[in-house]
Amino acid sequence: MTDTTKGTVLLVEDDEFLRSLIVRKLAERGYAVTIAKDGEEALTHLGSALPDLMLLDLVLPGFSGFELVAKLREQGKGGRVPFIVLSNSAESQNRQQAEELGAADYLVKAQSTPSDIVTRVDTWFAERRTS
Amino acid sequence: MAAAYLAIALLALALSAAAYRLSTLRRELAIAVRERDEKRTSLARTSKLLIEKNMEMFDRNVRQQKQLESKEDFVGIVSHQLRTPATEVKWGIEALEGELRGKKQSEHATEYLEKLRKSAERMVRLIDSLVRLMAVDEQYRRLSIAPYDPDEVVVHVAEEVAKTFEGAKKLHLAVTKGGTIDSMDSDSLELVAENLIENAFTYTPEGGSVTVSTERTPDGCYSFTVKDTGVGIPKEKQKMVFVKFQRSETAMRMNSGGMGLGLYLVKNIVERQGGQVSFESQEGVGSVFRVVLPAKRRLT
Repeated sequence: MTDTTKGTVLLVEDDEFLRSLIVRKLAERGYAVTIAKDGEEALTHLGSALPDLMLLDLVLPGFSGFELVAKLREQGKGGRVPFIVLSNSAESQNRQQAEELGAADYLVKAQSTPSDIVTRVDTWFAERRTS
Repeated sequence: MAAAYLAIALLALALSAAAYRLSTLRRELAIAVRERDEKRTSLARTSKLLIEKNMEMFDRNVRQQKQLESKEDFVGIVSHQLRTPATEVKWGIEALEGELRGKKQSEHATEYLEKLRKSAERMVRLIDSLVRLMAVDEQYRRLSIAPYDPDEVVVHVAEEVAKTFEGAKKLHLAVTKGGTIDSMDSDSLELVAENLIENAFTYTPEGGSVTVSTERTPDGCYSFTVKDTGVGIPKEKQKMVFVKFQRSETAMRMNSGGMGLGLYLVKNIVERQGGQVSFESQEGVGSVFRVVLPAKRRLT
């Protein structure tokens, strides 16, 4: 059977309900999804395989989403993992920091739906194919 | 013999004079030492006072910085805490709609879901307004505002708002370019402009138009005006416009969804930062809202 996944996505999100809704939508659209409920788990997954794209919540138990990105940089493994921030915290300072850390985009969860998020993922993969 | 006595007498005199001089000198020295000691004590006291004052200022700065940081944290925490359940509701509704799509349902299910969805949207918008208000309130307390071009902000907001109404209502811009301002920070200006322009679009029926114009007054103030061809505000409600956000029957029928900050808060923000907001309105014709801001920051 041929592997028809559109791409691999690592979802780092601590809220179980929100996580399950995104995973479901991503799977429906044909992506292979790995989940991590905090930064520690994310690092473990990233240690064995790098995803095409990471969806990163900022407020996590333990160290934050931004700290995860910093740790990845320190480890210098396999270049940078492209990531899109999913956040519910107040914008301006976080948006700026996300941009500085090289985020591909910044989505506010309360202002989007799982469909919106997966559509954004589709767009990201489409842009990557054409570049 | 007499010469020896004379010599001794003279010597005694000289010694006595010397002793007298010595005792005077000693007295003067004692006075000088006392004065020096007093000066030294006074200097020590002044030094101590200066150090204490420095410490006080330092403590005050640290406290203010902590307050600022904890206020920032507060805004961040409140924003996050409010948005989490709002997100769960909103996403849950989308998921529910997905589950029920294509299946046979009770006659009320779709209607109830639609109402839920609209409520969730409104909740998210209210939280956004609240968060922005808190953030803006915080920013104003910062020390200084870098001068910027207010027209850029107002025009950007007008174009963004017009886009969300997808062309059913026209936007006209009449901008007279001028100097920069530093009396109101750009986030506050954005919030005020957004509120007034959104109101104008919301209460204008399809086919109508909203005109946003800007100018500099002869005394150097910045003014922008939002004029709509909308439902207008009934005369009896006009004096309550800024006191409480009250909507007429027509307005409530037209705007089932959004609820912005309210004109009360617009007035609050504008006046706190040294400006004025006023309006004229005629039922069935439309309204004109005008905001005037000083060019330079005044601490009110």
